[in-house]
Amino acid sequence: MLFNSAEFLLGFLPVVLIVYYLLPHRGQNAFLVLASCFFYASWDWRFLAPLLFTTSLDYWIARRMEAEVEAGRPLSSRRKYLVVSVIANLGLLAFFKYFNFFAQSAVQLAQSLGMDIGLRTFEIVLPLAISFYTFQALSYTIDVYRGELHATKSFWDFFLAVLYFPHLIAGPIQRAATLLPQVVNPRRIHREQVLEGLHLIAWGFFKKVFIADNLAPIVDAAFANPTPSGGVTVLAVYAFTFQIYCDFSGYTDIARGLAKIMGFEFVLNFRLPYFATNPSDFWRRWHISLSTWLRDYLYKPLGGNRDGSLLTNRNLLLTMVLGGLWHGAAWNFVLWGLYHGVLLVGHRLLEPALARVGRLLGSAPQLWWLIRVASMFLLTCYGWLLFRATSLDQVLAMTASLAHPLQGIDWDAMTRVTLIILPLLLVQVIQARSGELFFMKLPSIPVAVRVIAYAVMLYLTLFLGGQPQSFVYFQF
Amino acid sequence: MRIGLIFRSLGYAALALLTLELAARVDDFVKDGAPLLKPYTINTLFRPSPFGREGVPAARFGKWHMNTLGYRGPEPRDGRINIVTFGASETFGLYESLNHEYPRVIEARLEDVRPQAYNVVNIAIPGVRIGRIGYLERALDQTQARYVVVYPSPANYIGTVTPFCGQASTPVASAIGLGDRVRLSGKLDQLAKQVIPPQALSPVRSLMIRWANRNETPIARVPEETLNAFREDLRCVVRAAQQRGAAPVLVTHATYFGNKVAPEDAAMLLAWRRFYPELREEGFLDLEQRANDVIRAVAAEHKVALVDAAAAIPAGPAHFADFVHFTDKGAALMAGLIADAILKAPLLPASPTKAGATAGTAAGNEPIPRQ
Repeated sequence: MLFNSAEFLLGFLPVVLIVYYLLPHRGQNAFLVLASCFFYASWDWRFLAPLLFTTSLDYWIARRMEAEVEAGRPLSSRRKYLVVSVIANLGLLAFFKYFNFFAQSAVQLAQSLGMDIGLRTFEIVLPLAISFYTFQALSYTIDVYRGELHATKSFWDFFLAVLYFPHLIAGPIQRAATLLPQVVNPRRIHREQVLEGLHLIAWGFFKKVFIADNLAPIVDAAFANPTPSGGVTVLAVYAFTFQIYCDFSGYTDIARGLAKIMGFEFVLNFRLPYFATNPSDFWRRWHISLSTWLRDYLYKPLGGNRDGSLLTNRNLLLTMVLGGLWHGAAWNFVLWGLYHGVLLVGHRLLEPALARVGRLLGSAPQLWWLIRVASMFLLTCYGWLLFRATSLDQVLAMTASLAHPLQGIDWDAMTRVTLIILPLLLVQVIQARSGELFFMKLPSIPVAVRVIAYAVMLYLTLFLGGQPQSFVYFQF
Repeated sequence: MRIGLIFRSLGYAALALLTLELAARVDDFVKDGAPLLKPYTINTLFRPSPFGREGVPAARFGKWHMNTLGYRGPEPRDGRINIVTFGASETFGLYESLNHEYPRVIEARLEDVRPQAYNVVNIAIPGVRIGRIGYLERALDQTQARYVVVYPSPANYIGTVTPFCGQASTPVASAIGLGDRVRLSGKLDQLAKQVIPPQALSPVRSLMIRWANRNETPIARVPEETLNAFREDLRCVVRAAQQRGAAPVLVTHATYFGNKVAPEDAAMLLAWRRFYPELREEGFLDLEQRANDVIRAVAAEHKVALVDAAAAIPAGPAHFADFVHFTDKGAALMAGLIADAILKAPLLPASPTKAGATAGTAAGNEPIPRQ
């Protein structure tokens, strides 16, 4: 049941909202558990089994660790529980998501060396959203282990925090520390919160249905070209850069909007990422819930930037490679993660030189900002080629074609892409200049103009949207 | 204070609706070159005529383009044998992509076999009863057609017991209503059809049917008189065609359901019934079966070509976009059957008036009222 499906919008959501508003707090929680189970089971009811296993185990482990804390035992006494949680969660994820990938890769490597290692692969159905809920559940046990969070007494509260349908499938990855209190304590819904929620839903659907779904066929056709010219590659990357952003941030906006109209607050997941001025800045703006998760639960435990430049760079590379692998069991995701790791390391190394250039251009700070944003945008675009490519051969062919970027370029298609993304660019410039992501509440925009803007947005979404597509991040 | 708020809210709602309507008009203008101020719906393709309704010459709406004779499709080319396809919306074409309605595909198939030999002129009008014989006669005179493919829609006879053939035709009132003037309503209607599954619409349709039948009891089976009227009209069509030197090709009527309605297709049947609420669901396939028997019998009686589409086109969503209208695949199959029949059917001797005449040189678009 996709957010952009008729059964969700005309059936599931209205029923959930009506019942939800009629119930008291505990009833709301119980009802949301049921509704979320129904939502998740609408793909395949068997997916509920690993989810139930993960949450039950992590709930029990967190309770055991809490008992150790209450008994005044040292941190080391909790370690064995944490190890069980990490092994169980990552083991489940590894089995479902990565077993076949690594088995196939090992077989191919062995074959290339003339060996037959006889490793089998299995018909494994990947449970939807396993990468998302595994990280969410894991953050809970790690936070309890660290003593940063008290274990919740109610299993159903924890279950709801993981299972809550707006964020279940593709995030934002909610930390238990931020979501659990909202589950446990009665929620109050404010008018402003509802208005912002409705705005996020409308804007999210617009980005997904009008922009991403209209770009999808252009992207698919360009990436399906077996002998891409430079022009085809440029078009493919240009369109995909905005397709993936509008698809994923559109989903996130809808999820955050749905949460808001039910009185929940989700973390921000995107903050104008294509306005980033360097790789570190990009990861502070793109998929923030994942990048902060990786920072807090992987990069910092690896040592972060505490142990000198060499180890910092190693930690950065390792974190980004694993972050790439989190997206999918394929070498192009590993390559994409590595690429961003190299960008981060490269930026660290070049920072003093860049600072000098910045000082030289001190009289024209806007020009320097523009150069940095444009450079980072182009680097990000190339990263999307690695992300979207279906094979390493395709990566090589498309990369080679970029030596002649204008060869065989389809200017009509480029113009179409530009026209499709034009409303986004307009809004993002307003957001960047004003610093306000909820751009419609800017006092400089009169109410009548807002009404017209929403009506146009609604029209474009309803009548000029592309063929409905699944959300790109659902595969992760 | 509160009244002010209500008025303000109403004003903003009106502004939003106005913006949506304006956006719809600009959208149509940019995409299709549609007029900004005049109505622009499928109903604008037709106008009242002495024969009931007729196509508006050179009218356009979306993928539907009328030629200068007021028929869907391109202009017939000179020097070719004209084939006329006569029927209702199934023949006019609703869901098929552009140039994939079965008359166009027949022409393409024939072109493959005998290049530059045939024109197919699609004179169908949605909702037409084949007994509107004056309309057919005029089309035959205009096009000097040598074949007439007749694909009647039996459901259009529900509620009638007398043949139309012998009746003086009267113009049908313009179908352009308020809904056609508000551009947004047509778009919302289309959107609802696309996104809402038929099962979800069934309760609404049931209510509409119940409301339509509030003063009378629906019938379970169409009376024999209706089939007799259908038979008479069909005979009339065959005679009119033969008198004008055109060989008729009769085609039995195919539906989404085939011979029986599967339980999961009940919603689809209800969707069909919405247009004919006076007949109960069980009466539809009965009507189809009996009407197809009539078509077969008339074809045998007059020794004219018969295409048994009802038997040849498999039921289900691959060939039908709804209860009776074709998908591209269904239209292609239908076209193949008819093209084969045309290639086998002998030409009738040309009538004296049409010897040597072709579409391009035939009579213009002057209506020839049947009196």
